[in-house]
Amino acid sequence: MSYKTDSMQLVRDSIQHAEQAARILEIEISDAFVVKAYLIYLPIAILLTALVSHKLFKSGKVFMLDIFNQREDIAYSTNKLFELGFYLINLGFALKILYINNIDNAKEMIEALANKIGFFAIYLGVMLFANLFLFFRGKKVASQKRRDKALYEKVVPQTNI
Amino acid sequence: MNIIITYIVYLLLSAILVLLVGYWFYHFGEVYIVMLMPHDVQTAKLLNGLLLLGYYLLNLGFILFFLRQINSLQHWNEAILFIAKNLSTNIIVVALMHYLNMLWLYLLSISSFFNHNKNQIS
Repeated sequence: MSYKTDSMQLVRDSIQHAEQAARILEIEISDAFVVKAYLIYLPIAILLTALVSHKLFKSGKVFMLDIFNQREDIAYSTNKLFELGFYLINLGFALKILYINNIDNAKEMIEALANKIGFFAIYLGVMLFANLFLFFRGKKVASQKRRDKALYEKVVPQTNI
Repeated sequence: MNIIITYIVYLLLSAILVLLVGYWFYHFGEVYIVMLMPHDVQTAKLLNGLLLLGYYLLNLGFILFFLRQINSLQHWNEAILFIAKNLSTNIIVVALMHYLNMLWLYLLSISSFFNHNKNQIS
């Protein structure tokens, strides 16, 4: 009876080896797809954040000039500082959500990419509107201060302290 | 995967981040600190330099602390994940500190310690 159990053992061993090889091949294929997905997602994320930031802070200059009473140096400096903060926080978020677990074929790669890029685009939209909200609130506060100052100077004549 | 390429890419990206962004913050933030103490511009510039130094030290710590783990990486996707994880923590901490600094500067500028005028409406 021992030759029959030996051959059964051989068959079981060969099946185990084949399964291991298939698993390693799957991991290699999955790694290849995952790396491709990373290398497609990263430039698109960086491009999107550069585009949104450029557009937002091109028109942000006007808001800043209005808030800081046409003082050009501090207005442009504030604008640049906010732009840098915007870039940093968006790039950090784009890199933080980079991880993709498992991609078996091209279909899953396209779906994973769509998921990541879509989520990042929504996040960029939320940050854009948050920054616009801050711009508008600063403008409201600045115009309120200007109105108060005009009223004050109407009531109290200009004196040198 | 190539360990030398991951070292080079990681250090290059981190160097760009630290040096370029640091210089921009240093250059464009000078107006704010000078605004806080307009009577003493030299102290303001020194303060600005101190902030830049602190920024450099923080980023050096972030970059070099996990540099050893590059040796244990085995595949390209692990390399990209390593770079992404470290760069993302670095960038997010720098961004949060940047917004906090803006907040401190604003609060300091309306506090009585730095405000020599009597009335706040200006």
